[in-house]
Amino acid sequence: MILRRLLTVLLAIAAAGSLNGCGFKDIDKRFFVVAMAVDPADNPDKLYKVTVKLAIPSPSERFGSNDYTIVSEETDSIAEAVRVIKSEVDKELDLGHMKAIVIGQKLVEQGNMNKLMDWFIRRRDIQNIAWIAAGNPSGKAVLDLRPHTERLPSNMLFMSFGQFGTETAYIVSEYLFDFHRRLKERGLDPLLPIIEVRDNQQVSINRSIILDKERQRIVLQALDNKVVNSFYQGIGKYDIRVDLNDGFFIIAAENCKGTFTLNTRNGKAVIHLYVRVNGIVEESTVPLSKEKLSMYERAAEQQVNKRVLSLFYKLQQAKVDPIGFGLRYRARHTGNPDQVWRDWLRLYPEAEFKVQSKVKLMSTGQIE
Amino acid sequence: MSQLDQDTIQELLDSPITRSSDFVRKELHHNGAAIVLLYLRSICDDAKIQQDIVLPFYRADHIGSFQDYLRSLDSQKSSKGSSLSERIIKGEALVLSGDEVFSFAIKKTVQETVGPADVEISVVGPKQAFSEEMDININILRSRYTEPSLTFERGKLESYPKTEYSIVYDRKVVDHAVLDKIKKDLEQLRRKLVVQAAGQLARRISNVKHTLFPTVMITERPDRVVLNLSQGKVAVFVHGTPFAIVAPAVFYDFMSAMDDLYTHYWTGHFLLVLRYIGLFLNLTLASFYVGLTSYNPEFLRVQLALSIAGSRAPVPYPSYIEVVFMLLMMELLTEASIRLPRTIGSTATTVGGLILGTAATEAGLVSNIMIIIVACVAISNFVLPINEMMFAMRVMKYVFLLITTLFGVMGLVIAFIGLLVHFTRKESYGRPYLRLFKENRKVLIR
Repeated sequence: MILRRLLTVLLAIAAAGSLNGCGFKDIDKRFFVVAMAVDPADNPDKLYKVTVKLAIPSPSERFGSNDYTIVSEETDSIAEAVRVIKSEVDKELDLGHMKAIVIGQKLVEQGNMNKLMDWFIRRRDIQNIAWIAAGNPSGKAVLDLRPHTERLPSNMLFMSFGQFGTETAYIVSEYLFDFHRRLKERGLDPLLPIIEVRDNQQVSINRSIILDKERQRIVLQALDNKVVNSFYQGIGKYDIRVDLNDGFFIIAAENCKGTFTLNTRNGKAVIHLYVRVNGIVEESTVPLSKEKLSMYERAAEQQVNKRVLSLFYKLQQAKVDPIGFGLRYRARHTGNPDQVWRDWLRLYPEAEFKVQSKVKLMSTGQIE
Repeated sequence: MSQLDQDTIQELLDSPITRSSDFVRKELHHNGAAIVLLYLRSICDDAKIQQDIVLPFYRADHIGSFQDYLRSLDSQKSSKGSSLSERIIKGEALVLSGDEVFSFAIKKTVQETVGPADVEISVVGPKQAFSEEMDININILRSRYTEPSLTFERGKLESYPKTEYSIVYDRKVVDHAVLDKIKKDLEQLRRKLVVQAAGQLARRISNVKHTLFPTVMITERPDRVVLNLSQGKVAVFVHGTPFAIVAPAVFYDFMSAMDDLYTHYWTGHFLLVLRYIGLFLNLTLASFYVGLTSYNPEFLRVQLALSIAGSRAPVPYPSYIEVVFMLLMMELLTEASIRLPRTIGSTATTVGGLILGTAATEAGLVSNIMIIIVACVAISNFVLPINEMMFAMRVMKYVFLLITTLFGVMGLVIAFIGLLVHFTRKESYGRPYLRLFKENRKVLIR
């Protein structure tokens, strides 16, 4: 009886042993890839230059203890590059913490994003966690940064994109899976934040690229980026400059949320954009009075309307649609999907935008 | 009182007890009458014998009135069936008068005081524990459980030497199937076995011999016994230990402290939840360390993963050796501090805990994080209110660790499910082990 039970236990262990998926490998025998960059290759025979940033752990984390090493390899495919890089380092590469993918902006301009994304989207360990961005001047340059405030390599990117640290409407963060979806989805175009290298080991992430399904179409500047973000992520921490006759004031928005409705009338698409802003006045060059708050609100609304309209006409002209008007149209119209899509392609360039914004000012920010 | 015949006298004289130096045989003569006094000086109260037997004998006019006096004594016991030598061993004094034998329980109790509960400590509950003297324990229970249905049944184990026990239950609410089973289990005890502690008996009467998890509870708290009796459970006292065995006992009972009932509703429940969290941490934390650092580091935040990797960098051995090493140290410390006298114990733990921990990290034998984990495992183990469950879980975590070392985090999950499966098929005197006793809270009349 005891023998039989023992045998069962042994068999169970042996059977479970064969199921063992990922092998035993101590954490200090692994190299964590914290970020990966893909740039056009310098060698004309090769397609890509793949760069990985490997974190070197330090026993005590301090500011500036962000040791890392960078390994680059030029190949025609990313999978190959990763395999070759494995032979160049002494520890096992672990992609489980690869949360940032930086594509060199030149590569985004060249296009062919679908082919590039294939490896990333197949990797089971990163497909749900990675953020994707474009790097200027190159992906490698972005990776090879050592901000003094970092405690861990690439932590700055994680903090900025995850909005764990800084919270700002200027940073559009785009997950890999969402980017992939936008690459495939008709009526919803991909966007990529641009990480620009500045002097003194700093970066700025306040512009973004809107792509069609393959390559870069238009680069949004900081102000436009903010508006897109209010429709995309709905992050507050937004500032609006409102000009008055004799000066201007700045509204700091606590939240700022954009929505839209889509109507077709007489064979013409009308897109109503609604923007709701709640905030307070943060800076002013003229004295403001509390009684006139509603007047300031109206002025701010006009300002918002103007800015939103100019952005959307710009997007329309570039024939891109990062907000998903096309997707909404496809969702609300029956019929042959291809036919619906063709209808939309015909409608969108002539679509009319109407903005209705509602600004609510809590106070003038002054002690009265 | 029984008739004296030659056989019983002979049996007594043959008994090895007569050759013991504390055996007293006194012949008293007065007015031509003679009595023989037989007792063990070591366990009988000399003064009381003098007061209750010897003096009345010399004051009596004739032997008839003395015998009448003896018959009137409260302490007289007719323990029929047992031989004279057995009565003497129990602490009775025998008086042989003419052809009659009288026996009196004149036992001198060594320890009459009741000590404070120091194994299961309660904050606001009753402070006293049981005593090592069974009569005192019965006294305590009677005064706490003032119901006429409270029943005691004394008996002797078939052990060697024979140990006295008593079964306690509330006749009105007791589960008779459990009662009969316990009686049967106690009778089935083999000879040639020394029973000196409640735990030993508990181990002997449980059905499964090599089980890790207790199915009967051993407690020193009178309030817990009273509560359990009112729930229809059965308690067994073993002479000479301040602990009672309570059966049946299920998992939930081992996780509840008496304080849960004495504090406010929310604090009581908070403590209960805390205990389950402690149990979970105690069981899995060391395994999680191995599983997460060696199999699935992506489970951790990158910040933590890198800091663990950094602190593990000087450690040359794989994570499971690191964990086993530290856990072993911790167990040695715990074990050493239990057995040591209290004055030295605190020094040992300080030296061990503080110095060993820091030195081990500095020497590069273990990582910093490991020290935190070992400390957490050790502390969370002490959260469990009942000792046996604490010990069981202390062992169980090594099983978890082994499985996790072999199969990673997935193995840990499977081990946890396996433990639950084991619990569900376990039972204590017909009660499912994992049953959350709703009936615990109210007295049941069967």
